[in-house]
Amino acid sequence: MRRPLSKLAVLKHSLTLILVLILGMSSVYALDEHAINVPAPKGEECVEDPEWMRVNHFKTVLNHRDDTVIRGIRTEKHSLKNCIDCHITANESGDYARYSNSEEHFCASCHTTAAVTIDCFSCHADRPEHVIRAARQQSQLDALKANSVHVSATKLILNTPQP
Amino acid sequence: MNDINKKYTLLNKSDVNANQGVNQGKRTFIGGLVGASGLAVAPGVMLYQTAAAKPLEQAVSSAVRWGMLVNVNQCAEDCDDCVTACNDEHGLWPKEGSTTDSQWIRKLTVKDPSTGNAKSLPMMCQHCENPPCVDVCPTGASFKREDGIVLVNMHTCIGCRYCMMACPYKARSFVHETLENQLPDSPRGKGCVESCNMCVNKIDAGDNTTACAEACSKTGHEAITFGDLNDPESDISTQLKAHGGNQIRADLGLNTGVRYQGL
Amino acid sequence: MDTLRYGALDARSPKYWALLIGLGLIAMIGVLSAHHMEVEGHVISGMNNQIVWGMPHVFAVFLIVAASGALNVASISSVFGKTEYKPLGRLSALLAIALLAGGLAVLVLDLGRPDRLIVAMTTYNFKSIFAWNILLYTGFFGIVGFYMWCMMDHGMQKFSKYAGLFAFIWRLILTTGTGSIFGFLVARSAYDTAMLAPMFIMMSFAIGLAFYIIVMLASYQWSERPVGDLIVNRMRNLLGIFIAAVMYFVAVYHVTNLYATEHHAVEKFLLVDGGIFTQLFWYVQILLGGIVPLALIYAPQTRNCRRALLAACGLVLIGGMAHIYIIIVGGQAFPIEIFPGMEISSSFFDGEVSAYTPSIWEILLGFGGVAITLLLVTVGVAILDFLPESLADNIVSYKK
Repeated sequence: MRRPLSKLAVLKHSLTLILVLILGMSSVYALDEHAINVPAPKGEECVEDPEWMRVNHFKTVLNHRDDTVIRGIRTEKHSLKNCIDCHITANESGDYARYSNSEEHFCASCHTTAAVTIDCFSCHADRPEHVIRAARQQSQLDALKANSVHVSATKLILNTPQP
Repeated sequence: MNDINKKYTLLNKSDVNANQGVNQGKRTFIGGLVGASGLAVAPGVMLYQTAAAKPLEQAVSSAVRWGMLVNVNQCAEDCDDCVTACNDEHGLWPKEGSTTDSQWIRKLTVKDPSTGNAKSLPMMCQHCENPPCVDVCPTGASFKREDGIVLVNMHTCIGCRYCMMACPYKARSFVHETLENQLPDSPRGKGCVESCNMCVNKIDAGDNTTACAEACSKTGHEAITFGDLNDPESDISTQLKAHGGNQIRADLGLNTGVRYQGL
Repeated sequence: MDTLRYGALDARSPKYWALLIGLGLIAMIGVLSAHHMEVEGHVISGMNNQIVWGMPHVFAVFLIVAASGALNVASISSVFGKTEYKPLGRLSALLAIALLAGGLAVLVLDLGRPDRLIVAMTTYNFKSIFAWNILLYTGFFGIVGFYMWCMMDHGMQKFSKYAGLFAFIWRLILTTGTGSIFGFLVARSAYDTAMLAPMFIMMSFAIGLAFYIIVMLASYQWSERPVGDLIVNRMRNLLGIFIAAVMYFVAVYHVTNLYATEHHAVEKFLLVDGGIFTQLFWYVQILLGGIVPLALIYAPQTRNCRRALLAACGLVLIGGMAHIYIIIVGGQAFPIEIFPGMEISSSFFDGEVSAYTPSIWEILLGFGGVAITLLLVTVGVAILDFLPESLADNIVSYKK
């Protein structure tokens, strides 16, 4: 019953991460961008030169992360939220890919090929807010449905007026 | 003249803070910038502007101290809209009766056993000026932002839970299991400690309120006032000046940013 | 043959390998349990948002406290000049390092994010007693390691006394630090007292010595080397004094608390109606861990019986575990007094006594830590000359 995310989490180990980052760096250059099957981004062009971004995006994200958390700087340009909002779009069937289980996810597509392990998305949203909100609502409904028999039974017991 | 004096104490305070934290150099620099512009413009106006809407690229400064005032007399016993709003804002979903799910804000019933008098109030992180959680955190992940908001930097939190041992308000929760569908503005995950962040995401966006305060107004109870404690003209400061406000466990000398009236 | 000679244990016997493999398995199971707890989250432990520190912390604190206590045996000879203890010094240092390693392993493996250990080792908040402890523990390894070197290398022996003194002072600070982890917590009624630091030091004396006696007698029995009554009786008497001293500190801790009206509620909880904690206190900590071992040590019928001494040591360890369990878990089970004097309630279990049932994973992790300690000792005594070939009376009383 374990979700794929936790399987990924098993793999994350700081030493491996460093090793993999170093090894992965070299393969970034070797990527054939046409081989990546991801839905087109929303915007016209990236906030930085794409070539530069491909190699350095983790530096910008890392810098921005500390600026935001510690100093409250919320510029959009280098924020992870901005990356996700632009790059994670619906495919032809209207679905949004998830980092943990699809190579259609912009970040995952490359990280999988380059064998990079990150744990950003164990906490951060891997899809735009409206998609997540919808998913939350759905899972809340599912949970309610799954518990409906139990809930109604408890309600019945609790709400029955005492004579 | 008084205002200018105040400006100076604020400046000094920001410098003191800068020496304690990370990014020392940068912070002192920012502090200087804020101070310089503050001296150039009329002090009161400048303070108000900082409080109202900070430009996105500007770092937070200690010229502001965010706080909340809870009027317990206006807080309805059977209402928990603030809790629901918080859960919705930050993507929490505590199951009833769960001992492990996170609760950033909760309704607390306080009953005086000698008189039987009971009151209901919201309890959350009190955003202390001298937070015990920050003192005990081995890695400095638990920290106080320049504007007085106490936060967990989840990138450096190792999940030791010492802050939970130290907090006198039981304000913190530990994420006990893998989470799904976290919201973009409230990243949270397994193995880290978390608590009320006074809706930093909303404050930084210039909303000038928190989810709980907003929800409370919507019900018409108006029991939670959010604002800048450093600005004598702010709603929260005028209310505090007129009617006072207690700190919970004031004996501990933590100087909380959340105050209560009618206890 | 009156000279003191050290020799490594024979590591070729099947008995030795069986022990090694057995301990290795327990240690491995402990590490796997911790891994399971990291993957699934602490939801599979018995810990929750009320009892945030549980069984792993009891084991970890127990082992860390024992570590500094185990070093006392060496200090007694090099700092206090009791030459009878000199042959025991090397094992004392080895056991101290092994116990600390075992305890720290448990502590670290229980973290919510053990993968970020590097953060804990590189980012320090110097206001945190926890951060200070990280430095104290690391320093302990270095200093005791150096002390060990001084004791074992003939050319270094001239520094032995100074290294011993330094290590002794360091271990006192270290246990003060461990006690202060709890003593500095103003939020919780059971902790907010400076008494905890000296009490932890006294506990370390008793637990560390008990651990030492068990390991020493066991390894001499296994290797069939002689141990004379002289040294055994010295240690027996010393243990008796330490047990009595711990009981004295426990009494002072509770009496000072009872003096302050604001602490009456928590004292009533711990001593009278705290359920499992009250039972643990009276039956396990005081009776089994204090009175019975004292009787075994001083009663004329059992005074010269080694089995009785081993039993007393075992009981001291069990009583010590109970004591630490009451401090850590009991201290959290008692509700935080957000509004002193008022009755509070909420969906977050405010004002309620919290229940805690440790899960099997936590317990396995704890025993894994003990196994790591014993594994290190077992390997250590077989590869280096830690143990004197004889602890017979003529060797022990021999004066250089």
